[in-house]
Amino acid sequence: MSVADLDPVIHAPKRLGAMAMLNATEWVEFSFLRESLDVSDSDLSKQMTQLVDAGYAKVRKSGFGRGATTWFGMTAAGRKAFERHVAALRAVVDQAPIPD
Amino acid sequence: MLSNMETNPHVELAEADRLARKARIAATDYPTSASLVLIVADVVLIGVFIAVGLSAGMIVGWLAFLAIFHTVLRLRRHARPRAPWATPTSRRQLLKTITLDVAVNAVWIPLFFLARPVAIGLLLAALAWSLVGTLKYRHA
Repeated sequence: MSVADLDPVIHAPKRLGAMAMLNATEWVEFSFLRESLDVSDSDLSKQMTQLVDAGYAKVRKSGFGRGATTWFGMTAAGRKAFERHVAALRAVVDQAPIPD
Repeated sequence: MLSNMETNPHVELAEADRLARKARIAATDYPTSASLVLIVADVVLIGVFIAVGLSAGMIVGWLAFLAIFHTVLRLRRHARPRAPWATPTSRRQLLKTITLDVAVNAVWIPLFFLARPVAIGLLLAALAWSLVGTLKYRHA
């Protein structure tokens, strides 16, 4: 594992955080992701669209009208890509000195 | 925090671990109020059982309560857990839970028929232990 194995889609901090949350669960609510990542609605939508377009995340809606809730989950390809990315990141950390 | 992560893989990994833990807790943890409701319901069930014995109505009532309790809990959660067999760690945890349940019941069920007061006493002690754990966790 090396820097070359880092996935550019996942590497962005907000998307890495979102992927970490999706990997730990089956589905995560949009509002919970937004609060946990401390981002705006539009920013989160943009980040999640990139993950969905890359085939790493899937989306579903529950409820109707104003009560509708958007949920995100991780695809099998997303889990593989995330594990590969985290392994590469750990390899980088193991080779790098601990920062002050 | 997020801006630091761009240049620091140590922080990136630590933040990813923190968020994963947060999501896992949101998906699986019982709120204190839900734990207390379940403990009170257990005590009521034991009380009714001691007073009138086992009946079909009691079993149906208990199953209906559990169905409503878990549905409400699920609807209030902001994340849904992965299946217990989804990862090697969760599979080990599932196996451990089943083994423990079987072992406990292998002792408790014979006790229930041979020494009922002892069995009920142990059950109440387990519930008291659970209550203390719930309250301690809330204050942690």
